Amino acid sequence: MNAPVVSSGAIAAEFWSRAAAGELAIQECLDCGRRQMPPRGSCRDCLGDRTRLSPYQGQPALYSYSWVHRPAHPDLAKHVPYCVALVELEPGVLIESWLIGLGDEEPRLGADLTLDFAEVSGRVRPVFRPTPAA
Amino acid sequence: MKTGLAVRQAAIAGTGEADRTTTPGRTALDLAVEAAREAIADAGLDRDAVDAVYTGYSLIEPELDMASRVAQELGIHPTLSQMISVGGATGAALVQQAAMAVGVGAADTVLVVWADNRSSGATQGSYLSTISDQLNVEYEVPYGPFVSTQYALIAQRYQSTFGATPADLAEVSVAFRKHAALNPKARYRDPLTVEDVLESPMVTSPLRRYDCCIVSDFGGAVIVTSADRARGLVPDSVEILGYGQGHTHEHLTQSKDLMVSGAATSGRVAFEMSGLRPHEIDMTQIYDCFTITVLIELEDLGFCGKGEGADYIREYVGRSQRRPSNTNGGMLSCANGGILHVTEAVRQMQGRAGAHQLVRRPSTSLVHGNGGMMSSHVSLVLGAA
Repeated sequence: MNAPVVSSGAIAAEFWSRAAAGELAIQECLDCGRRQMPPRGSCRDCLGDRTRLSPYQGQPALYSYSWVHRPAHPDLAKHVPYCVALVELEPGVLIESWLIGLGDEEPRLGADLTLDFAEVSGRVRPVFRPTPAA
Repeated sequence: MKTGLAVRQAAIAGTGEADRTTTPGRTALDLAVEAAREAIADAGLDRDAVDAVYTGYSLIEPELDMASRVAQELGIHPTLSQMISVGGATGAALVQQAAMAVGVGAADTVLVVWADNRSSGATQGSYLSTISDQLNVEYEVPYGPFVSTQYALIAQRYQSTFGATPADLAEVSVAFRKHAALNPKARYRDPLTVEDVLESPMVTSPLRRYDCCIVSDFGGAVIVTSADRARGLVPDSVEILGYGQGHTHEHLTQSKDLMVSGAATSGRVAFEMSGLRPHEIDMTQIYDCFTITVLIELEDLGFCGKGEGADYIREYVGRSQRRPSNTNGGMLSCANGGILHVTEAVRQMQGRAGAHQLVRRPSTSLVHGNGGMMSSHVSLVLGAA
């Protein structure tokens, strides 16, 4: 069974529509100003429900990763092994994603990453690449 | 106890374990009934004495209310009944809930039972897909992580934070396998070395096959009653001296600190209630879905410092056996199911564990359950009556 393509509500629908247009939207609380991912109905810090999605413009960094050696869904078989990553968008804000475009070297935790987008499990989703050394 | 309630001390008066090895192909309900029947008999009770039934859940044969179904099949009519799910921590959580019910006098004799037919009733693929429901279906599952991948992400971070290596993780499997070698009911009994673990197939880096627990059928049950009554029923009851829980998140990205689990809270609360401290514990039964889980739990429970889990395992659990752990082989070598950590602890303390009975019978133990993605923690401190 492949992963279902889920949109859990209006906020999520906007998140995915922006992702399809090449934007990673991060959710910001209009009451306390804190940011969180993934987007949802209320702020987990102040419990306020006035939030907005705004374009993410920070510097993502690798928090952790794992090479998965067999597919969790049939439509991922062509990608095996794939690298699932925890990415820190800003301090305290993690998302789960893919690390793509890796060379032979093992990734280093804390390394700067570059945001990209790719079709994964039936939808355009944010993914990340190593940032080439300057 | 520091609860402020006039509570009765609770104790475990009997245990039961379904036979996993000789009759495969049974239903979750069959396994539950067998374990329950054995626990009732072990406590020297008639089934009519059971006035409360607390059960876990079945992933393979979901029942909306497993507790009522089990009571029905056992032909008993409880006045208190519930099915609960705290993921893998359900076994320890059921015992805590039962101790609380006995403590306040809401029940006198609680049958705790948890069973599932995770190998007979499912393929490994369908089982892994079922438990992935605990991940975020919209934002995580599409990227293809297994539950093991979420623990692998913790393990990778742990290695980086504390300078630990895959060999350090492997020490957990190696130590528990030594116990399994003596247990005829353990799935894996062949000697295991660190090299064997490091050469086993990579599943989701850095976790390899022998870093991951067995998926198997299981059934376990205990009878929880008042300590006074338990002493009258059997000569070797085990008292529930303390319990505690700690819950920090459900999805991995929502954890405030992946290196410190809810075990830090559950352990502190349980130890405080018991009046005991980690160095006074003779044996641990630690939830071992993956090797990394054990290291972080032992550290957070206070048996060693942060990042010292592997050294602790090598010395206390492996080499000197000063504080043995997962003495049936655990989920890594014996069988799935967090309820078996409870039954194994009780049987060791009773001196009735069979071929793998410890030479020095433990008089105190710490049982710990973990559910979700290192999310939900339940600790029990047990003491021989």
